[in-house]
Amino acid sequence: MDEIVGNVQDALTRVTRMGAEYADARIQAYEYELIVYDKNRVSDYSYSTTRGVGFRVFYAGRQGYASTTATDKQSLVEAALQALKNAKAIAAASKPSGPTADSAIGKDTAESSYKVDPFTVPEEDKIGLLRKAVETALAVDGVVSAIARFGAQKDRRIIVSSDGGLVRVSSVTTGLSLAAVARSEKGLEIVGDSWSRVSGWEYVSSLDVDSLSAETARLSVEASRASVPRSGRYTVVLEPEVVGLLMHEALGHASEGDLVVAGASILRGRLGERLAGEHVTVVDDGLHPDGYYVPYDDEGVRKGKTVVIEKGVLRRYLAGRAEAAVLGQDPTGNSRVMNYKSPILVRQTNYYIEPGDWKPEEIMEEAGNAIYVTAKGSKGGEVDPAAGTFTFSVGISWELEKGERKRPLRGVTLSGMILDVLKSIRAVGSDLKVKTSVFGGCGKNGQLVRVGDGGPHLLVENLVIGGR
Amino acid sequence: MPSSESIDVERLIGYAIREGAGEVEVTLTHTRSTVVQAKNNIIDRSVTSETTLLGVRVSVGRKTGGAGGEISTMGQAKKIVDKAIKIARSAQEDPYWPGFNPNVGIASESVELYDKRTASVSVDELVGLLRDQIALLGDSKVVASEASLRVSTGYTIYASVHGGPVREEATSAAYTIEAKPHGGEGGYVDWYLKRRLETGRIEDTTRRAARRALDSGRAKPAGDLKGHVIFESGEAASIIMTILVPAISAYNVQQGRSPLAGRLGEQVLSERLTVVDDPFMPYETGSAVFDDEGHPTSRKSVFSRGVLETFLYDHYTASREGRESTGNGFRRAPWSSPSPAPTNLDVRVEGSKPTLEEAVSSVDEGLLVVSTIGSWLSNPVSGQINSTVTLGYIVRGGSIEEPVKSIALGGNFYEAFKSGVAGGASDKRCLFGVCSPSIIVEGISMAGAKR
Repeated sequence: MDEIVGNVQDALTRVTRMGAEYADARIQAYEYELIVYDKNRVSDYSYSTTRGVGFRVFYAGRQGYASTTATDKQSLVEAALQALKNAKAIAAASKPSGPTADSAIGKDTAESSYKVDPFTVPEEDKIGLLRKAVETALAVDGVVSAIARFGAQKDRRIIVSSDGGLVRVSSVTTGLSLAAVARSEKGLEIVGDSWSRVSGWEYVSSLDVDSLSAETARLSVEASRASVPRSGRYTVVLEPEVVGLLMHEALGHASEGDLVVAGASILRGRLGERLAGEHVTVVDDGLHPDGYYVPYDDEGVRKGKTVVIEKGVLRRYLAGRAEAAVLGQDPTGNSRVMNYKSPILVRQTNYYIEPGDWKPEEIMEEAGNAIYVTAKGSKGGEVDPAAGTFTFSVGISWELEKGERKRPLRGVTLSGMILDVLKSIRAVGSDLKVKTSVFGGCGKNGQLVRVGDGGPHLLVENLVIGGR
Repeated sequence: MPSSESIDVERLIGYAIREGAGEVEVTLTHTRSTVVQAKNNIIDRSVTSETTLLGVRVSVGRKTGGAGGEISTMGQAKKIVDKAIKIARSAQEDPYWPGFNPNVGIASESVELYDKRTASVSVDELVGLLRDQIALLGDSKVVASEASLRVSTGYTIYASVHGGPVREEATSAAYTIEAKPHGGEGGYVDWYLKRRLETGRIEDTTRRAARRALDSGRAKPAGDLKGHVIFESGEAASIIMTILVPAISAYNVQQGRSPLAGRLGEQVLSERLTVVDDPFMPYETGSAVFDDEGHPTSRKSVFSRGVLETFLYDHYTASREGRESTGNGFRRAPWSSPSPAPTNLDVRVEGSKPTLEEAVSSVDEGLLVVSTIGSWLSNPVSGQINSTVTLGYIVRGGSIEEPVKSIALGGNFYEAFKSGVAGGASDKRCLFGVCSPSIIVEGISMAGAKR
């Protein structure tokens, strides 16, 4: 990849000489491996690779994008010129929108650390791990099916800009997931869990697969026998993974600057407004050790820890360079792309609520009669950021009586308005957990990017639970 | 831009065999796309991209492996073949491995997949069309907070040691608009997705988005509601796609993950519902003349008057039951294993009224659901519905009344769609493989956010 940086820089210079105000490029080499072990066989073992260069050119405030998989000098220049042509086609049809590229990016190289490259590990070792996970799950009475996946990713990116910026970012991520299906007299139910980290094979191989698998399987059996709760409003205790979903979906998306600029966020015009109690601080952190690795965004802007809500008050939006200029704030390093050919969008990195003072057991005791909600078996969530409405499917949950777990529940969904929920957070736990995944991520405008999210246990009042 | 024409799939198959593959199948796709995007009524981005994807799957004995990615030269393609063989050699034996699909060919029935005008539309024309949509909003007190118009053209080639190459050219056009009331809250997202660009349909989409955005601005959270739920066509398609599509996959049935296992010949859905897998619907995105295994596609009845007649099979699942594939082997990516999926799952409601308004006229009390979030979070294993209404209309005395929002829908799909189907309309819409009209059901809980 490094060998083409000079040619990419030349192509950027060419378009700026032809009138472009600013141009940048993303060079990417990406590898992904997925192994699926389904009940009694390897149902899929595949490897894929992506490699190319994507150009973005600003002309009269408009952005044109074009990309190429060929890396010879002529192909690079042609792609840059196509991006310029695209920008000009828009500029001719609409009014300029003002400055969008403001501050210069620097030069740096950032690499995540790992010990064992997962792509060099013998295939039999990876399959053996999955077989063990599936066989352990199937040995649990009541489990009728189990599926395990191994995923590994190597992502190398170089961001080059027309004002001299040159940033290299590379990371390796590995993970394991397991889903178990159990059957009882009440029907089938599925519970899944996954464990991923920005790390090499050493992370996955250190997992206690037997106990993680047995626990997931046991929960699927319990879930298959559980009842669906009656829909209504409840006091709930949310475990950290559910808090991550809540923060990412319900608040995180609404704080994305491109949606704010477009008027498509409930948080527009609310900077400085109190949205939650003093015990609530929410951040987007590109370098949390258990989250995804984003030391720089795909514009080459350094990503640190962005405080979105500070002690209950909305302080800042997530913004790329274009949105920052409109919003009158600094870029926060949140411009990201799925791959080299995708257009820049404002995305979260690792979004979580900072820990508070309550021990988890104190939260349970304080909750009294409530519902304890976990994410095991959750399929994720969705939000309408303009209205602030959200919904998630969560995993197996429990009725709490005097703070003690009693009857299991399944088919639980959470929904509501984020601004109501933030005000209803009564207690914030001290046990922060952040999680990422090599199997999925966050989808927006057809682009999937890896993210992390999390938080500590929360006690929330008056939350809408959907069931029967 | 590199040319994918330089990739010779038959040479690749020969290379794979020489390198030690027992069987080999190759999929080559080439796509050229242009998209223009607008924010707040201003067109601010244009993106062109050209992608050539190669997928290679090989077997070595009863062991299989796949590799793939973006390529531009035969040298890169051969490296992918090498990787696929390496994976297959080290993979575990599959006791049920039947080999790759032996029946490679094209369906005897033809279908329109390619539109010349869509294939040749220029960036300038797309910009003009998007600008026209924004102009349509001009007098309607709404703004396009986000809008996007995309056209693609390309082809898919499949070949294996058993036959081919077969080739299919196709185009596609996608339009999405998020309209918002000027300076107000709320908004509405609408879309158009077909294999050809239809200006009139795109304009209809814009007008509907504008009307609904205004309604959204005055929608109020409702309390708990009772009565029928009328899923508008797109919402009905979304629920069916999430819950029913995985359940009719023969693979999920064989692996113990479908609630429909062992229920062939049973009354699973309402007698009013007939569901046909139809790959020959003109210009629909699920239409195809061969599936991702190169097997000819075919039309088949999945539910006849609610009775389950067949599951969907790829070659692997069909072989396990000693039968022929139904031509429903589709892949997540060209290098992935196939699994059964529908082409266009065409849902028909007996006794449907010509329009949604006429269908609703028979409903005394209920909710017309036109926009939701989270319906894809419903549970295909248990049939549990999960969906939150972001825009709906109260139905009272047979007429569509005030707009409402923030209502959580719950209940079991199989109970509601077996005994609760009360009618439908003829306003069919297709969403990622499911074409459904609006459907009226009872037995769905509606929990409101209003205190």
